[in-house]
Amino acid sequence: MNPIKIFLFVFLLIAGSEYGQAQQFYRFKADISVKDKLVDGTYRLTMGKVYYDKLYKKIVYKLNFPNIETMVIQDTTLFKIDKTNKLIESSRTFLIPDFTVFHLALTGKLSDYGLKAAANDRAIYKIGKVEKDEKGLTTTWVPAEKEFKKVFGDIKMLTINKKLDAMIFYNAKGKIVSRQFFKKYVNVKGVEFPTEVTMISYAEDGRVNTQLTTYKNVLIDQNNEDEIYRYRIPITKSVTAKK
Amino acid sequence: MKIRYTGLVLLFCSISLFSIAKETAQPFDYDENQMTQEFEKLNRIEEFVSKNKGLDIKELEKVNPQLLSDIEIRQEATMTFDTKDELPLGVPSFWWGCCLGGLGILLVYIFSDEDKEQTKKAFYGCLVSGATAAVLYLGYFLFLATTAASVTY
Repeated sequence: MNPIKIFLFVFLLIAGSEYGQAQQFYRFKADISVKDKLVDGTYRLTMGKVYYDKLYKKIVYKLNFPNIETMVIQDTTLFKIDKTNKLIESSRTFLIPDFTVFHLALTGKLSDYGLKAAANDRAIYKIGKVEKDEKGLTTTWVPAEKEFKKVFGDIKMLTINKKLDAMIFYNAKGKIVSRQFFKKYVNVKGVEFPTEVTMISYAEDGRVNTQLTTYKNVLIDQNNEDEIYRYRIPITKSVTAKK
Repeated sequence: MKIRYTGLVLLFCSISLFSIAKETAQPFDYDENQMTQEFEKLNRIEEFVSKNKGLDIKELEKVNPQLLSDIEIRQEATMTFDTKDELPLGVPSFWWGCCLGGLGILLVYIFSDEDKEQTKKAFYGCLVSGATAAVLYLGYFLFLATTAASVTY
């Protein structure tokens, strides 16, 4: 066999695998706007920028409205920092970076919202049913084990052209507790990301909580502003600190 | 694996704090026009703030109060999963104390991240349940005493 061809083959094999490695996206940044209509009829508007680094597992919100402040979510703790970089308060949060839309988009798992368990992981959900119609592909995820069925309800997922379009969360009794929609996808450096995410949650008495999050100027793998991605929580507390 | 498990449990807990009385007919239906109408006033505020960098809500109240005049807007930022005012299972603090007594108070204290207000509510719940039990016992003993006194041999 021609040695040049062998060399080219090996070279392309290595180059291809290097390219594959380089596609491990790790940083996300965007302008964010969150609009809430709450069950009591009041509204909320939050504007600023969001930064996420997959390696540090830190979500940093640099907000300018309603107040100029920074919020950092790290290890299920939410830290609120004022504009003078003093800690205002810290509190427990349910948010885990691995299940944010940022992390899932960077790791290419947004299409199934990360529900598919990895090879050696214990599955919490399994695919119960798959249906195809004119809307797209509807997958019903059901709790994988009997014990989980007492706590978790099913999750229905609609994907259109392999992109997550909507999710319906049911409680263990089969009632809808939340609907989420993922619209207006953009492709930035190969990362597919929905620039409009709507969440509609339902209270027990039927009242509705609506949240619309929009993202603009999405940046992937930004190589500056390191100090924001790694945001160091200040030790000094503000005089108005609650904790 | 632990992170995924914990993450899913917490994600579902946060969503399960609500439940609906009836299921919508077409759950995947999404009305974009309705969303636009729903947030029309907020969209106007957003547009104004975007064009005027550095404006926070207090500055906006001075510069363009009309934008805020016919909408009740909260002063704090949204944090979807900020659980400061919520407890697991969506059970109010009062009932934790009322049903579980001292254990309920301790659980509220831990889950609410040492929130004094929430812990106080659990304590009141415990007091109410204790007082109710005391009244019931008193009533029971009075009943027994009355019954015993009315027995003739």
